[in-house]
Amino acid sequence: MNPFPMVRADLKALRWLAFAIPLLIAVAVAMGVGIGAQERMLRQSSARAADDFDLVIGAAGSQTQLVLTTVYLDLEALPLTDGALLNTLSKDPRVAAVAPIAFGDVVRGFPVVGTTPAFAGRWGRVAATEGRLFEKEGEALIGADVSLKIGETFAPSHATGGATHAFQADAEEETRHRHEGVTYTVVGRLPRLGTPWDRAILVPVESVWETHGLGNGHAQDDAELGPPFDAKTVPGVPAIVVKPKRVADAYALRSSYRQGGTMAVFPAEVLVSLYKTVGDVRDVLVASSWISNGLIFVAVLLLLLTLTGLRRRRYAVLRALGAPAVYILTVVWLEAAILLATGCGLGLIFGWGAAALVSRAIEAETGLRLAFSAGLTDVLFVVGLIGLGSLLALIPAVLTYRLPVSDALRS
Amino acid sequence: MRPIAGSECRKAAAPLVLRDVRVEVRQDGGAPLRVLDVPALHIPSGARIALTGPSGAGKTTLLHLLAGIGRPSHGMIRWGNLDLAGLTESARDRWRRQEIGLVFQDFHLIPELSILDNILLPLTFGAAGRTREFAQRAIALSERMGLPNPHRRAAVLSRGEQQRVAMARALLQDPAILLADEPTASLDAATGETLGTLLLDAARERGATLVVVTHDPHLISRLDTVHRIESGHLLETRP
Repeated sequence: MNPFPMVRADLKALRWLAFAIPLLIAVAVAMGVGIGAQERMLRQSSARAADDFDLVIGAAGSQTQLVLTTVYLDLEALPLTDGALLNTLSKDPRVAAVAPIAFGDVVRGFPVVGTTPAFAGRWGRVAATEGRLFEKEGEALIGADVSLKIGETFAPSHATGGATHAFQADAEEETRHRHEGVTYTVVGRLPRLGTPWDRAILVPVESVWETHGLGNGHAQDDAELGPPFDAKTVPGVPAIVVKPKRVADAYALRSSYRQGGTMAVFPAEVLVSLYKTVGDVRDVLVASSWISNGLIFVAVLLLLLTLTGLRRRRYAVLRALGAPAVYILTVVWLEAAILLATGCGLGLIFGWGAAALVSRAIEAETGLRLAFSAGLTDVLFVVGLIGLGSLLALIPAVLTYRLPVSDALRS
Repeated sequence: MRPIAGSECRKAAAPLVLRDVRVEVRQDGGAPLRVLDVPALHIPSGARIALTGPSGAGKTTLLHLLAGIGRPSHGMIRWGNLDLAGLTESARDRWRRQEIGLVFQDFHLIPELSILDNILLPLTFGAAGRTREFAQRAIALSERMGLPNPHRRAAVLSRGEQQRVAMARALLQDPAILLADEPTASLDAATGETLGTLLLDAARERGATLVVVTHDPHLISRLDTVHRIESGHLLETRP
């Protein structure tokens, strides 16, 4: 038994419907797949961006804003925390490394972030792809996406926003706020991290302090960069990144700095609560996409049932020519299953495509690169739908099984 | 007319015998309605028979019984030693596929398929499938039916051409019985005449039994025996 010549003929007879039906199903399936894939990619990428930020300490305020500002460079004015804390922490036996993160300036829309050479190199995890890390005040290390060249010099402007829009070099908004007499020279470029930090210009925190007339944090002008900061008063910083030695230390540090005007957060912890909200939204969206899937499936099924009814005579002729009932059943089932499976398969590709497009938009907007990952869950979801579709396809098939041939021939 | 390869090896047709055959339909809880009543009918092997009668008299019902499409409510239909009424539906399907050639008034081709694929379609119903021998035979048959290009789609054919394809499809497996339901009624007189000749010649050459339901007086005059059905009763036979 070879039902395929007849299946081909039947599908051909559908004309444009043979394309419209799978497309309709594909759009419905793509919604569910796309939403799931998008949320998963967002979760994986945002978690990866927080990798080097084990514990973040800042002045008491919004934990979420502290994490968004330090990890994702969503630059909002944060209350400053006492800079002397840097010294206390660097002497703390539970701390492996500590670095300040200071914002305040912008160059052509790229934020200038003051920190230590150690954190600029992500605690030794990354090295400059071009040039080197900054070694003294007035040097700058740029992220992979910053449109400056090695050796170029620039004067920063006082601002906090502008993380997303690269202004022209002489944009009015920047020239008006430019710090006169302060220049940086680009000495190196970092590899792509896939995080908003790819748009940051990293400079010594000492330079940031000095730009704003706060001294350099050290007792001497030519002191080495980084802690200890031995000035009489160490300037404040918006955030401090701490790398604890052990997991137990991380928890101990967090509880120590949760009082006395400071707060300490694990970015991962804040992300989990954000993911929960995102996950709830996803659940609502996925549920509504299930409803639309169901409606489309029912609509297509009704269409196929009508179609099978219209083809009663066509199939009765095949029976009269000697086709067994199971042949007709197979033809009708295969047709419906092919249409549904093609739609589901296309839906998987459409869904992934849509997620990739949205990811590109998110990357353009935030600098957070959402790595595409073809999730097994998406595939399983679609395989499940195909299975369900194949079962539903049996309905019109079974209805033709008991076709009264003699009556149908004469109708 | 040149013979078609492979027709020699077929076994001869067996006589068709009907006894006490009745077909009743039960209408919505009412008493059963007798639509066909054939006390006895003997169709010798190789006979060429016309079935005539007014519309709704039961001609097509009888033809379907002979083809094993339907089963009588009562009675016996034998083809040689084979009891058709006693066969299961799938066994009758197989028997019909192998032994019967059917031609309809409205041709009933699959318009999306080519001439060749239409002729070969019944082979895809069973385990045998399409073979090169059958493909060659299908091409030979379509040529003999006056269809030079077997790759044209059925949708573009004229009515006469469609009936030629339908006849080639009926003849493909060299059936022992040819059943035709008003084969010329949808055609103009000249085309009907030509196709009637093709049908009669094919039956004569094969020695196949031919039963034709028809009102076409010209076609009736060319058949050996005429049976008339009125209100489900087989009335007279005219040799």
